[in-house]
Amino acid sequence: MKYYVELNKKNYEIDVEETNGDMNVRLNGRPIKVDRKSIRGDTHLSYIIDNQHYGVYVRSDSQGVYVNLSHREFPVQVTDELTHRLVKMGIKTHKADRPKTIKASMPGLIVKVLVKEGDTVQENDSLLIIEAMKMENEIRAHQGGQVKKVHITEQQPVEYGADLITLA
Amino acid sequence: MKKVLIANRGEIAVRVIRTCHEMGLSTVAIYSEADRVAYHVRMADEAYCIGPPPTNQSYLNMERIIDVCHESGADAIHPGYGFLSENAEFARLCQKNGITFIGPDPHSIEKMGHKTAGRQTMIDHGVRVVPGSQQAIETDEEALEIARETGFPLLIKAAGGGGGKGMRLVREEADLLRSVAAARREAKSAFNNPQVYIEKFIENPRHVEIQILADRLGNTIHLGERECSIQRRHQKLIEESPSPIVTPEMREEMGQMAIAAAKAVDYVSAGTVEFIVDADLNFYFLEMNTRLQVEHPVTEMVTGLDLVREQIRVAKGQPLSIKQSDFTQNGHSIECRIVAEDPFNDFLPVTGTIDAILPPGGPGVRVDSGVYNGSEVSIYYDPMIAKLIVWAPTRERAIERMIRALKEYRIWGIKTVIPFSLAVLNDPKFRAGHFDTTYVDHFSFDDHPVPVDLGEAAVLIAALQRHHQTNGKSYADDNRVQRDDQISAWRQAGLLR
Repeated sequence: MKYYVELNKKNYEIDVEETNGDMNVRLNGRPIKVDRKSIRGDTHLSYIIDNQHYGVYVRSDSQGVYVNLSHREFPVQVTDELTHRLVKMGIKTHKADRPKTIKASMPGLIVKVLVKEGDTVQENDSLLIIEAMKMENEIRAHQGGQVKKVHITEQQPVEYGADLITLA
Repeated sequence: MKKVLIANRGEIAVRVIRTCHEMGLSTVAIYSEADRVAYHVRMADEAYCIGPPPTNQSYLNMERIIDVCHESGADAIHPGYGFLSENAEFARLCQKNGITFIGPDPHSIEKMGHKTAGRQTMIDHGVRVVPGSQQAIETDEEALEIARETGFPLLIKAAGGGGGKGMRLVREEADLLRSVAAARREAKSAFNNPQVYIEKFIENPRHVEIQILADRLGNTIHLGERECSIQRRHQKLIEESPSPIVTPEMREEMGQMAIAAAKAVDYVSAGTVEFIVDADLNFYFLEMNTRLQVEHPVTEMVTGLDLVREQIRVAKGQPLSIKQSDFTQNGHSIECRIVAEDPFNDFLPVTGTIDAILPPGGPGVRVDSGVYNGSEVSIYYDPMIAKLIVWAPTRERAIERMIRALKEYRIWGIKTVIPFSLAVLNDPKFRAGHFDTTYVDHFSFDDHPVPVDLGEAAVLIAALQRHHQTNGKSYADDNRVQRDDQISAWRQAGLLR
């Protein structure tokens, strides 16, 4: 099985072959020795990669696989061979032009909304202020664009993950 | 004193309970409905629910806490830090009910709590304060006159409270009166007190504080300094003792000034006098925290004292267990606060469940934690979940030990500031002692790249996780997995929605 993996805009090709329970793994063609053991379910694992131990916590959602190791979270896109071939055939994924909705990264109270629908914002512009744990936190635009929808109003409490602002 | 109620939660409640148990005192925990299974509740001998999660209905509910004392027979209260620890009214309420408040007397808390009055008291007792107005500013003319005398840049600060509310930085005279008016409005709404005063703004300052201990028999001593310049929005992240910039002469002078400040308000128990230090190592009194400080363990590590034990001794009317002449700093100690905030996303607080936590151990490592496997980090309380403290004979070795211990720490399920702490400890500027309170503002992870092999390991692991999800059972065994996988492939390719 071949996997096409992307991390921080860098692409990697990973080959996994299993013969009699042994895993043969190649990263960009380079053979790598891997041993994988689950500590708890599919989330807590112990990996020994080329004799180096990595204690990992992994979660995944529709956007990708999130690998936590050494106190860092690596958001990784994994594409299998079939999808990769379809994409290569020139079938454009519709992921790229989907509008980007900024979600609440914490639960809290909306103190101030600094933009309105139709506004044009630059990357890093302040969009709104959310109060959590008695601290005011500024939410900034991850990318430039036009404000397509403002989902919240001032003084509204929001839960973690709630839609805040959609940029087009 | 037989039974102590700890009017707090989290790591500090756990820390106080530990000393109480070592001293043979039984302990009473209080908890909000959100904290039913919190660590401090499990540690204490008794536990009482005091109300719903919001702090003003639970940990700040004075009458309810006093009721629990009567109900449980607790004859003393340790307030920890935050919550009611610097509330003179609460200390007075304890007195009135015949309960020992393990801390200073109400009038000492009051005197230090009011900024301009505290400032005046300090000036009267020969403590050097940041140059500026001695009292609240009444008129525009007065503001202009004092501003010209003090010099720009300057700070306008609220007399009624802190935390950055009602504070304005003014760089030139043209902005002065507008800023005074704005600060007054902000102070009025935040503290219901529009009074403001002027202070010289010290560029790129360092924050150094002195630990004080005082008993009721007239002994007031200092236990040296803590360096607390690595902070963000007035919240400290890394502290150490001793400070790399403080010389023995400077320590002695700061210590004596801190003792004078404490004596000026008849201070007893443990307290902290904060100083602001400019680039030429001139230092000025900033404020006094009339309680146990979050970062008190670094002082404990270099002095060998237990500050909570000293607080309890003082509250019982006993003398301090150490004299000023016996004070020495042995080796070096560093503390990293383990805060549930995302350092890659502007230090925004994060909430959630701690899936798994495995603290570091080994020589010279101390962990003061308030959480365990499965603990919830909620929106209601402070996001600091633990403190990691190390001791070593030298600063260099303490830094190496802290890096080792931070790498050992496993916290899964929530993000913490640990990647930031590691980057700071590896930064040559920090290691050389060259930093001030603006350090975090200039910090960027771009200057601290991730080692390439870590990224490669992550990539491999992600691919293998996917591989195991789809091939964990053979294709023949589980067609459904394969079909789902195919559907998602087509969907991703945009052919199926």
